[in-house]
Amino acid sequence: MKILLAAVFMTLVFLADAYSSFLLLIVFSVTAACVAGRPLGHSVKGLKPFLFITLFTVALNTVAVSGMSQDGSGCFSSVIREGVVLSIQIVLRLFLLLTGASLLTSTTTPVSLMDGLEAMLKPLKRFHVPVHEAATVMAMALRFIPVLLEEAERIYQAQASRSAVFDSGNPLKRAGRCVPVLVPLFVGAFRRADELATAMESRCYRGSGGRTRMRRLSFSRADSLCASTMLTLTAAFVCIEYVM
Amino acid sequence: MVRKVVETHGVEFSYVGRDGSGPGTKALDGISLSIEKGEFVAVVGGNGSGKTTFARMLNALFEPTAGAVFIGGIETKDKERLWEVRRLAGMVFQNPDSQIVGATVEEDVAFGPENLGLEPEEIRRRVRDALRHVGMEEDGDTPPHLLSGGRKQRAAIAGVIAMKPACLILDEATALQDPVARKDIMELLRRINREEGMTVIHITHDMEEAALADRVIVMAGGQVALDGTPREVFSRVSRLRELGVHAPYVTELFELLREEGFELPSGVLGVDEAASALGRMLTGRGYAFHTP
Amino acid sequence: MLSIRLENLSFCYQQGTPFEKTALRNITLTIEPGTFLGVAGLSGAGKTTLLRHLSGFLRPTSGRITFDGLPVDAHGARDLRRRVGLVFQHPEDQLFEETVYKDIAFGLSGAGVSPEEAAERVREALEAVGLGEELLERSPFGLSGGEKRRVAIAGVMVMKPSVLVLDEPSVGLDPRGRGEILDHIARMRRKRGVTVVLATHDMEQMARYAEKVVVLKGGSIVSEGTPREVFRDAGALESAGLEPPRITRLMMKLKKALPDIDDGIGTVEEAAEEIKRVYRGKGCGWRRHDTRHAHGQICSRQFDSSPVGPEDEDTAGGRLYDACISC
Repeated sequence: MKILLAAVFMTLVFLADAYSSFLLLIVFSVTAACVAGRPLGHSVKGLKPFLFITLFTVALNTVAVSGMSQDGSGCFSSVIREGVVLSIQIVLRLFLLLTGASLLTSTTTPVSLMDGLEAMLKPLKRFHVPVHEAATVMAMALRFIPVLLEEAERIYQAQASRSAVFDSGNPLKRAGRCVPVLVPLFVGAFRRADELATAMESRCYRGSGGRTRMRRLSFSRADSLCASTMLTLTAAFVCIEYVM
Repeated sequence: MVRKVVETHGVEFSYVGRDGSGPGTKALDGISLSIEKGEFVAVVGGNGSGKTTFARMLNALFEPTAGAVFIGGIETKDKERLWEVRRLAGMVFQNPDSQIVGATVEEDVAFGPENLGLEPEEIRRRVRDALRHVGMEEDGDTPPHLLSGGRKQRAAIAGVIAMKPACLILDEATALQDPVARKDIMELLRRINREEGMTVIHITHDMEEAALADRVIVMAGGQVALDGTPREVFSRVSRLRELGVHAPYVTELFELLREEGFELPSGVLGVDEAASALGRMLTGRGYAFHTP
Repeated sequence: MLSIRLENLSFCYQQGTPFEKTALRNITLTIEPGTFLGVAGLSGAGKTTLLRHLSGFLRPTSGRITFDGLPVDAHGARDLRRRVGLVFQHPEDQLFEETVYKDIAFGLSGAGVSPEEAAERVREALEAVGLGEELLERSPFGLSGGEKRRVAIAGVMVMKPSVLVLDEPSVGLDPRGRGEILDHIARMRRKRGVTVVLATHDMEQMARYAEKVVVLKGGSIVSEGTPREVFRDAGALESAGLEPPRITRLMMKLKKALPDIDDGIGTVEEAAEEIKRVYRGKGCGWRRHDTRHAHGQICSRQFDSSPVGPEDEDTAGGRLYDACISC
């Protein structure tokens, strides 16, 4: 459900053009963030790494747009204003997108995300696509990304402490020098995968057959509330953009 | 109610050779033993003694090449009842990071019961009970990677308890933990054993932990080399050394002194007990060394 | 030889982000050449972070670390890594070559060492960890856990570092493997005079191998000194979640009744000697005779920790004095 809502939200962000619709979206995302118990400051902090990109976009846009509409228009200042407005719009768009995305990932655990994905892909089951297995694989992959990153870092340092050199020589040589990190990383990943498989098997995991869920993913009241809010939002959005 | 939780008759097991042909080395070589309900058994032995293979045999992850294993009266070879065997023989492994499946503690504990195909209400009840047993009611929504090593293992134990097993099998579950976490896990196991009558099979390299069990099984070369109370087993210091393990430090000290002709009891395990015996010998009178 | 000095060193992970976490606080420590330093503490106490500073992988957030009085950059990070060999936790995870020989020799590839010298060094390193030459042509992946770990340690030792830093080298091994690894390292240290820094939470190992111990808790040093000094500092040790070795605890209990006994002992062999010493002194003096006899021993047979009043004089004095003479 959330996945769908997020998708709708992002489409809206891209379509938004008028000030009022932006205002509407901002208000919405702020309230959503508050409802979810996520301080807005958090997502602002999350934006920090993007600040540079954002500023760069602003500058580029200002220049590009002003360059584009230089001729024909005598009023220079209005052109600048247009460029700035456009860049602010882009910044806002980025901000809204990121808030939306981080809202989704920070309020939803990977497993329920996968459950949702599995539910959405269910129609594919008719074509004998192993939906459950695929979703499980994805969930596990997601879970092990941080572990493997950490491991890669550790192995890299361990090899460096044996005075391995990673950053000199031609590209081919450099690629060859990854071997001391990649081989142990793969060996470790396979070992972990094996351990995990053993652990899951010993806890009676046998694929989707005969498996039940503690939490049924159902269309709860909260969900219908969300859906109706989203519908209202879309309607308001359409009004502002196309009717007004 | 089956009194014997685990029963094995002449169990043998060989890993298949790397090329897939012919049997490799014998990892287990004729193991016959039985473990009764409510026992707390420690299994010790050096690397390659067959401890881990034995544990996986109990969980039907391996099938014996000869002999038979019964868990709660069910033979592990019985394909029809494989999942029942796996449920009854609950396993906790060495590395908590590669046995946690859920994104929250609650989700992870629910994984086993979900696999059993239980009703959502029943699953919820079991998760709640299991978390209460391990003292983690508050941590249901915590992502496991934020927990300390000891609490991760606690969560893993809850995950097994939620499946209502006949016994808990811990395959070196304390090996990667620090002293506080080890103590914590041992106390939890002792409590579950005492209060719930849960059978515990604890595979460990730590002899001080083994000394806390009711029964110690020493494995070597795929066989049961010694089997008895910690006192009986650990009094045989030189035999233990031959088998690649050692007795608790205090026990070793006593055996060393006994070899030199000192009149001291054998098989002494605890610090308090040892202090009383030594104090008596050295001062010539009884002296209470127990800390107040 | 390299002496390492840490002055007021602090370190923060991910400084300036919401995930900021202080891992070390105001560490001041000198590692003299040739010492065997033990770093004790629970998981998360900062042991690993401290060790990574020692080989220049991490730079302090504040304070400084110097090697022979010079900062990391004066030596060059690469050069320093060769002189300070860091063995990570679970070093067997770094093995990757087809043969044990190639894996151990890996670190020498860029060091401009002749093939003959490389072969000689690999053999020495293998011997230092107590493995036989018959392993050299085997695949490292087919070895047992303990052997793998020793091959990995040999891969660091082959660089002939003057400081060998080990992060929990025995964790997860069986009792025999645990003892062997550290025995070999201690022997190698005696032979080559290498400085060894060992991080562990196993206090029995500290008692057996370390000359000096620092105890970390929440990134700060809470106790430091010789193992016996640290073991006696029971309050600090306990606050760090650690306990003295069992043998030390036993000796501490005995000390309550036998003030003469040495309670800083941490190993089985030393304790047996000490108990024999006290036992031999049995019957050679009594507290009444000024507590200690000429031998400096206590009459353990008749020992009583309560002060002796004059009323005891007649009842037992003579007999005890006899016992003393017979000694």
